[in-house]
Amino acid sequence: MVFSKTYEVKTVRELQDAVRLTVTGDKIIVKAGNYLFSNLEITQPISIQGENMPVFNAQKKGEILIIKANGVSVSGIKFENVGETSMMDWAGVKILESENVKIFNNEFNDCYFAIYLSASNKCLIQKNKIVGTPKDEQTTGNGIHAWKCNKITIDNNFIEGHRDGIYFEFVTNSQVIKNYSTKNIRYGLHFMFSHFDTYTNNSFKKNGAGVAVMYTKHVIMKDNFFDNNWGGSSYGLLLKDISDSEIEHNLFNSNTVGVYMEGCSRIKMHKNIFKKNGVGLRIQANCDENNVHENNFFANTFDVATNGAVTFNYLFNNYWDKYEGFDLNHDGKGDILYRPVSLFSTLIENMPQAMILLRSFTATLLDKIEKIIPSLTPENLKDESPKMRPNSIKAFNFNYEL
Amino acid sequence: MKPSHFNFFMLFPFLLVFMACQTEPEPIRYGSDACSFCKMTIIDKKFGTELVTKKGKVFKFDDTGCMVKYMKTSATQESDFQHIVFNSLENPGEFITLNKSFFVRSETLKSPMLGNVAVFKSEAVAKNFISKVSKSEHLEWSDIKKILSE
Repeated sequence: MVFSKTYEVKTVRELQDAVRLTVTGDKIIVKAGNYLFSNLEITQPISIQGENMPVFNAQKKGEILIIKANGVSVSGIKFENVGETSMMDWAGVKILESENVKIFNNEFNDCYFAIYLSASNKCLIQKNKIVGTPKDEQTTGNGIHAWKCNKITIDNNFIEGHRDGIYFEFVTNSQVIKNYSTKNIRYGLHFMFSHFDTYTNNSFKKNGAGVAVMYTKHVIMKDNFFDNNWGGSSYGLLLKDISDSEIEHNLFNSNTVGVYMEGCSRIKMHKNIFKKNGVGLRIQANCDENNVHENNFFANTFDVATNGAVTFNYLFNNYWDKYEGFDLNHDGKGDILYRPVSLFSTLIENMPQAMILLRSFTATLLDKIEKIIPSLTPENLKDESPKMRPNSIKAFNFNYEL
Repeated sequence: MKPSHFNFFMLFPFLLVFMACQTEPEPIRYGSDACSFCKMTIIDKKFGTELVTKKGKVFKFDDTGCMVKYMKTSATQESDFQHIVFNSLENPGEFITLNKSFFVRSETLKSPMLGNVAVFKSEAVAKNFISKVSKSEHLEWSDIKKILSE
C-alpha cells in the first residue's frame, strides 16, 4: 500500500519541484507568501492547499495553473495579475479535459479569465471571490467560463468586474447556485446552447446588460434576483430562442426591461415579481405557447409590451397593480379581463420619440379610451382572470454566504 | 463696412442638411451597443460588423453570422446598402469594406455567435493565419453567406 505524501512549500522553486514529484493523491501545502510564476501545469491528481492565503502572481506574463488531470483540488490561494492576449484565453485556473476537479475558497484579483473550464465534467467551483479590474471592455475575459462541459456545479461564488460574470457555452446538466454576480461589463450570466441546466438563488445586480440566455432548451431558473440592470440595451433577463423552460419565483426589480422574450416557446413563467421596471415583460410576436401566470406586477412603467400581434401566449391569474376592475362575485378575480399592453406602449413601439408624452394628459386619455374600445392594442394579449389582490409569493432569501 | 458675421448663421441650415445626408459607417460603441440581430451587447472588437443603408440607417452586429442572418431574414442584398464593413482581426476595431476583405473561417476562432469568420485586410496576413491555425480555410463572401445563413 502506498501512502500519500504531503509536501510543504515556501518558494516557487519548491512548489515547482513538488508539482513535478507528486503522484496520485499527494498533497501540497503552500505557505503564506508571494509566489511569482506563470504557466504551471498540473498533470497528477493532487491537491494544492494554501495556508493563510498565499499569492500566486503571474505578473501579467501568462496564466497561472493549468490543470490536465482528474481529481485535482485547489483551495485557499489568491491568484493575481493574469496577462491578456487577443488570441489565447489566459486564466487564473484553467481546467482542460479533466473530471472531478474542485476549485474552492480561492480569490482571484485582476485576472483576464479567472476560472476557465474546457471539455471538463463533474467539476465543482465553490466559494471563490473573483474581482476583475477592467480598464476597458476588451481587456477582460469572463469570471467563470465553461465550454463544452457536463455536470458541473458553480456554487456560492462572488464575481465582479469581468466581461461576463458566468459564461456557459455547450454546458449541459449543470447547476448554478447562490452566486452573486455584479458590475460586470456585459452580462452577469450568459449562456448559449446549454441545455438541461438549473439556475437557483443567484443575484445579478448592476451588470452592463443584465443576464442573457440564448438558444437553449430545458432551462430551470428559480429564486433568482435580477436587480438594477439599466441601460439602452439592458435587460433583467434576455431570453432568445429558449424553449421548454421554467422561470419560477424570481424577482425582477428596477430593470430597463424585466424579461425580454424573443423566439421563445413553451416557457412556464410563474410566481415571479416584476417591480419598478421600465417594461415588466416584453413578449415579441415570434413567441408562442408561453404560460405567464400567478405573477405580480407592481409599479412598472409598462407591464407588458410587444411589437405585433402576439398569438397563443397565455396570461392568467396574474396580479396587475394597474387593474381597475371590480369583483362583484367575490371570487378573488376581476370580472372583466385586463389588457396589460397599453395603447401608449403600442404607439411608442412605432414612434419611440413619443416617449416624451409619457404621463401627459393626452396619453392617459388615449389609454382610457382604448381600455373601453380596444382597437390598436393586440387582441390576444390579455389576462382573463386578473387577481384582485397580489398572489401570495413566498419571501425571497438572497443571503450570500461567502 | 458692415460686419459680416451674419453670414455664418445663414450657412447653418445648409450645414444641418449636409450633416443629415451623410451615410458613413458609425463607430461601434463596444460594451454598450447591441447587435441588431441577436440583441447581445457587442464587445469583441475582432468580430463586429456593420451595415449602413442608402438612407444612412446603421445596423451593427457582433458577428458576421448575425449580419448574414439579418440580410436573409430582411431579404436584403449587398446592393441595398451603402456600406458593408467588418472589424478586422489583424487590427481589431478598424473597419474594412466588403470588397477589400479577405475571409477566413475557423472553428478555433470562437466568435460571439459562432459564425467563426475572421476578416483580414491583407491576403498575406490571412494566408499566414491559415497556415498557423488548424482547421481554417479561406472562403469567398458568397460561400460565407451560404454557410452562415443556414
